[in-house]
Amino acid sequence: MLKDITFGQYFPSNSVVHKLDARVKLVLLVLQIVTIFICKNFVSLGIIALFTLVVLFFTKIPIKLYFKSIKVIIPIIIFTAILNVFYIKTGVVLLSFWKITIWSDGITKAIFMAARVLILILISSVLTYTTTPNDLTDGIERLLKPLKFIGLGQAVHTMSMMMTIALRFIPTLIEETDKIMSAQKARGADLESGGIVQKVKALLPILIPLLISSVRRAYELAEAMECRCYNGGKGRIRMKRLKMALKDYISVLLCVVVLGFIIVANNLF
Amino acid sequence: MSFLKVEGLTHIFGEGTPYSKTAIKNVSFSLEKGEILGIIGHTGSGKSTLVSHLNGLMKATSGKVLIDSKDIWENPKEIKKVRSKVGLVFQYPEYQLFEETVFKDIAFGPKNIGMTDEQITGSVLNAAKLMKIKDELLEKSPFDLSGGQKRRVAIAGVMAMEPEIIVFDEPTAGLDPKGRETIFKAIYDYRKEHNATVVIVSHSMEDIAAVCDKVLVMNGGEVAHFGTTREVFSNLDDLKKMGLNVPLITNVMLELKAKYKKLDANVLTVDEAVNSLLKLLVKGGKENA
Amino acid sequence: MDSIIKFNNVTFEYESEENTSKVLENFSLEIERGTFNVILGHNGSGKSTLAKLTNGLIKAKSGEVLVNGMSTMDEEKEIDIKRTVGLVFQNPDNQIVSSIVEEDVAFGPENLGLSPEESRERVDNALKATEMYEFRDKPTHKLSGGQKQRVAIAGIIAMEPECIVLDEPTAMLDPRGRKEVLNTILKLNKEKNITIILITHFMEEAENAHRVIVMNDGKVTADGKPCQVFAQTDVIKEAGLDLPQTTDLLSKLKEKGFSVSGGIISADECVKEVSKLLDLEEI
Repeated sequence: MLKDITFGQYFPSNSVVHKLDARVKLVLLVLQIVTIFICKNFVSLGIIALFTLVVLFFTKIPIKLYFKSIKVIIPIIIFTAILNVFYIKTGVVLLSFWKITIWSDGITKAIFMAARVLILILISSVLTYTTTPNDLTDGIERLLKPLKFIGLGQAVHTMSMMMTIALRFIPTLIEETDKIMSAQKARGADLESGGIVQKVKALLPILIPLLISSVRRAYELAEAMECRCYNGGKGRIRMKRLKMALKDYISVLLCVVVLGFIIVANNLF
Repeated sequence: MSFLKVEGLTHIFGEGTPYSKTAIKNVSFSLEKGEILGIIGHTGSGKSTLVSHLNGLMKATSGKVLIDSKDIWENPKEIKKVRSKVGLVFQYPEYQLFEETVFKDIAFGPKNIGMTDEQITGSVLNAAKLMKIKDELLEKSPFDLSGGQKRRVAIAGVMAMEPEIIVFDEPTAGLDPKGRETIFKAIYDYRKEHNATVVIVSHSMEDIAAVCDKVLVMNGGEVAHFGTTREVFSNLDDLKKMGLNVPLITNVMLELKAKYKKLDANVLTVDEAVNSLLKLLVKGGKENA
Repeated sequence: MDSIIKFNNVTFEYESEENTSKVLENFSLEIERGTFNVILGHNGSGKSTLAKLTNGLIKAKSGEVLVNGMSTMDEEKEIDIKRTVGLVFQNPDNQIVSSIVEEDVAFGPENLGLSPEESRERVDNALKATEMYEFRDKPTHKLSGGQKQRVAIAGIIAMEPECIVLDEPTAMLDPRGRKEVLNTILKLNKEKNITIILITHFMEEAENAHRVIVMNDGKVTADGKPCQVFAQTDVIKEAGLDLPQTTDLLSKLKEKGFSVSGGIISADECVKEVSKLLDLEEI
């Protein structure tokens, strides 16, 4: 069901990861992604995997929730893995039947890629699970602040406001989609069978009401925001201050150290 | 044999996972053709889950829904046919409108269940008449209508499918008294015309008391009471314990009965209360007595 | 009278392609500071228009609306007026800006450019006043309807307005949520002395008001204390409102010639009133 999607949600807790500065977390995520992609062998991948597990543990969020976020993406991982198995034709032939030959490098590469994507998703989930959407957009807004020197200050604010509202309305719209789907099914709508043209046509009774209700919501929200003195973000001061603390510096240091290990491992093994 | 029979219906969400939650548990009741059932209970007591089983939108973990003695899941491939037998009007149904004209929107359901063009025209016009939708509105866009009109068009869209059982989840939520009256009147007329079985989920005890023959009380996913409206609303203390209530007028009469034993407090409407009081108020009180 | 809001001969009309329809015509009304006012009317009686006129969200075609003596037409006073009169709407889902309760409540103070310390204090106070403090770090979409509406109210309170106008805040809620929101509103009026204008079509919600105003077709058809207004059953029925069963019972007994006082809503008072009649009988 649509409601099962946990990717991109926030789970409150009082862990040290939750308390890190959002800007630091954003920068570190970018650093981690780079680190994951420069891993050349299983040893370096193992190091980053271990580090990721430690980070997960420190978030104090049940591991189950992380695996829930993976569940949605598993088909994509399996698909890319299978592609790797069939397209790489080096190493030792492991199996050959009919027109298909499976090579050892294909299997290795498939596992390596799958592991890499898994780690990537886990570490990205850490960011969204431990950072409130507002902190996140606030962090992005502040990181992009230098853009105001080239005249993009208002654009940065608008973008972060849009992100806040989008994140806020995702669960509402998912719920609404579920509801409209049930309502149209109850009116005998057939959403499953038929060819592509029919399937697209069958979506109209869902998409049109969804679009119309979104416009109505946007209109009402704009009025409510106006009532709360919103005027495009001029003179707005955020309640939550982002402040770098010792733990932020330590985590940056840790991540750099991990990166160092990876580079060493890449060259040693 | 009852027309609609629900037997031991249980629905567990996420069965077998640590998050599993029993939404409804062992729900049983039965209704005859032409009867109106009211379902009451708190938000989260399982009312909405229960009604989604009646037309096969949800499949129960265990238990059965029988219509005319036939299990609706007997042939799972035919489950869509059940939707032409059981109409379901969701809360705030006006959000499901999507067609260019009111007529086309009301015709969406009938078309889906395979009525002929002639049948469609007939049933759309009839449903529009029942819901007091004027002819000149039929060629307008549903999005140009007022809130109350949109609601009526949405309900007409389900009535036009001519279901033998029609279920309403909070049909009058957010409407003012005039809008409410129109909708209840139409529900009555539809039942009369089609001898249909009607199920209404509502938070308003007063509305339930005025409209329904039978009442089902849901509490924590289970049936707490099922019986005639009068029977169910005689359980004031028990309903209050569940955080529910009886109609305001019944409440007043029950309080009076505690003091005046002779009073017949078994009333559901204001008119019944007046009649009951008049039996005792023979002498005093009259201004000109 | 020390009035906080004043409508002077206000006319307002909606213009569409086909026609213009007058919603309010030469409408005048004064709201006294610190009072709890309920405006009753059916859908389309002009009461939502009235709400949006109070803080300048929409502007009158002619006449003027004054908030603490400031005209809503005066663009320089726009922010001052919105800080003085806060609006709460029907659908709680469409007025919550942020995914986290306290961040949403902070939205107003942040826009006002308050210091982070002051914003924090106001947010905490607002959440305590609406009894939502324990939910401050919860995601807004997991709350019940009544809780969401209380967050929306907290978001307005955090701007420390002198007056709150609520446009059918309970219409989409279940009985429990309705009670929660109503109690919150009553408390704000009593404890914080905030002027309340509650717009609704549920007569029961007017029971504890200082003043009840019935609107029909853009005009005030009854105005006074709850008991005075509710005694006018004809006016209420004409305005397309439902009499509570208690009021209905007493008015029907009165029709039959019994002497009972009208204008009663609460079950307790109704029981007392009928008891008086029954006590005259030998039973």
